[in-house]
Amino acid sequence: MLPKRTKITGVSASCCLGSNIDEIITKLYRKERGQTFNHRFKKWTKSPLGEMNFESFGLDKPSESACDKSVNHIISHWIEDLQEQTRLFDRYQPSEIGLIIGSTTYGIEETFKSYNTSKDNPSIFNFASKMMQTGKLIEEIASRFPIEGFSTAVSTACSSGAIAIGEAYLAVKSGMLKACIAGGFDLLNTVTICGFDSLQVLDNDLCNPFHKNRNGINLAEGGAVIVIEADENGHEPIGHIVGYGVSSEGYHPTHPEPNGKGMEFTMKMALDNSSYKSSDVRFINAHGTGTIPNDKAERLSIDNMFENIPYYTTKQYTGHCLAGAGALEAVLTLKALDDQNLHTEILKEKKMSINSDKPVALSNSFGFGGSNASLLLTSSKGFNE
Amino acid sequence: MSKNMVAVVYYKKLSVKNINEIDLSFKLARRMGIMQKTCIKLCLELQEKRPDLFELLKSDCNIPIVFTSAFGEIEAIYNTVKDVSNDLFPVSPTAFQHSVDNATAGYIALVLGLHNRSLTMSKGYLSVDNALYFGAKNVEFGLAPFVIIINANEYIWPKGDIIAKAEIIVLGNDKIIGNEPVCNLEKIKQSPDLLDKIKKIDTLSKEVFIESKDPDKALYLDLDNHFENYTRFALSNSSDGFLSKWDFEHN
Repeated sequence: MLPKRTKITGVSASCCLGSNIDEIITKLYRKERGQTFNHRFKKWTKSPLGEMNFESFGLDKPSESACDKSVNHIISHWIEDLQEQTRLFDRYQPSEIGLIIGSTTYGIEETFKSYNTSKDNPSIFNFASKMMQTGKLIEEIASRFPIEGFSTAVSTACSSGAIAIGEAYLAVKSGMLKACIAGGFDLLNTVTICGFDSLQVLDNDLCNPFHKNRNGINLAEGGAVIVIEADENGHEPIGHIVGYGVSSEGYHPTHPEPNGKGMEFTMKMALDNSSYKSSDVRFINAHGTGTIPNDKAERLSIDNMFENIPYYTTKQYTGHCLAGAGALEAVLTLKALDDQNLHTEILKEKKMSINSDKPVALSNSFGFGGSNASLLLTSSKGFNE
Repeated sequence: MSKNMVAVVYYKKLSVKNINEIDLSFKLARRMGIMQKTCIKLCLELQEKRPDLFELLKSDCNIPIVFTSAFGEIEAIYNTVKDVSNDLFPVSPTAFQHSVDNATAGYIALVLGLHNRSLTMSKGYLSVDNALYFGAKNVEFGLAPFVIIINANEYIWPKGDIIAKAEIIVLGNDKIIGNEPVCNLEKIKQSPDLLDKIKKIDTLSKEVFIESKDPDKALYLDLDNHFENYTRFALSNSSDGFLSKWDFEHN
């Protein structure tokens, strides 16, 4: 067991439901769905998508392939919001603060530019633009703020945001960092849309995860960042990460193990790395993409590990935010731990009920490449490590 | 809390100019790109040389395997972007699957039957130094007894051939070292404005300063090219940087 206790002291999030966490929660209460058929990628897909409100960030809607600057702008906006909430940069030395952000497609704008530059000479593709690397996101963001501790981009497909948060938790818990800003974010672009379309996993209607008639994913934009810091410092906690499981399925490049064993293993890891047991878990915010294989495997994994546990996915309302999904859903899980009525509304349709005496909840994220992550979270009231 | 010492317990690099140079006997290999096959080959060699590490990996899945790349899966990315730019739909599903940065890490887990904490991270031209820093701190702070780092890139050659360069580095604590450690990693620091700080470092010692303006050279540690102590600086355009000090003499 690692020595330090950690706490989450700030959260900032945006998605197609709203530009801040309060807007998102308000719409989740109303069970509004953020996905729309009238989006900027109509030429490429019939599937509804969850588009963000760029105006609220003072941005024009990005073009179909040019979104890197908007990603930078929005993450910077979130970090300014975190500073307002936590005064993080006033309380720590820059070298004590880290930054770990999940992204699947940062650099795509420059990748298109590099392609156009190198069409006649592909050998210069790698070097045609120094900004086409995913990792440049971190350099760009860290240079705007007093962040000089360990910082990296994590790119593990749809689990990127959850893994970024999990690794930040370990870095703070081990004493490697005193505080870390972590999360994930993706904006949509033509490569993502056309790639998922080629895999035939997009639902041309509003998605219906875990339903017997489910037919695929609704892609979306969004994500979240949070502040994790050592619990020895004075700031009030919003909640805590109390366990983190991260594993490789080693089954197939894009399909989950059909019996759910890989997902089960990851949830078990999160519990084994904590001081909680499966009977302490109040509910699961599942990965629940809406594809037939993912939801079937995840339901089996949950049934194998738990008895009658309530589970749901917020992707039904937010769409699938890819690298941002795990971070956004961790934040929504925290909010649901504190606000009993939020998940009661969501679960009513599923005829599931909640035992609010149980202290912790799991947030699952499973990605291409068999890259799985589960975060075990508790509200500040339920923390008893 | 006392910190663990960090040594490089295994190092190997490989450059492959033709995908057919790598003969992997399993069917899945037919799907793989050149960088993926190169990385798998390096991992299989490590498994052969240090089976004890793979026993430990299987008994403790919290031990991390880190894949890092400055550019990612270049062939797949190039082909997917080319298809989209030229309205060639649908794009290749395999190219799209391979274009995600963790495709290689996924294949490594699949081929070697590992279920470990697997991380794919990137920090542009500083990617290998960043992964090294992450791995060293994981060992130093007791998060893991050892960390496997695989650093790889693909390049498109002038005639359109794809080539790959990769290196595998295993960092471990004193319990993992084995009989033939490569070198000790005496120190690794991350610091912006490193150039200013370099001036304060004692340059009269016998350390060799590795400073390269060739960004591709900076992408690899090339540990088998060094037989004496040296200090490596890796600096990015935004003046972020890493300083690492390596001790080969004690091994």
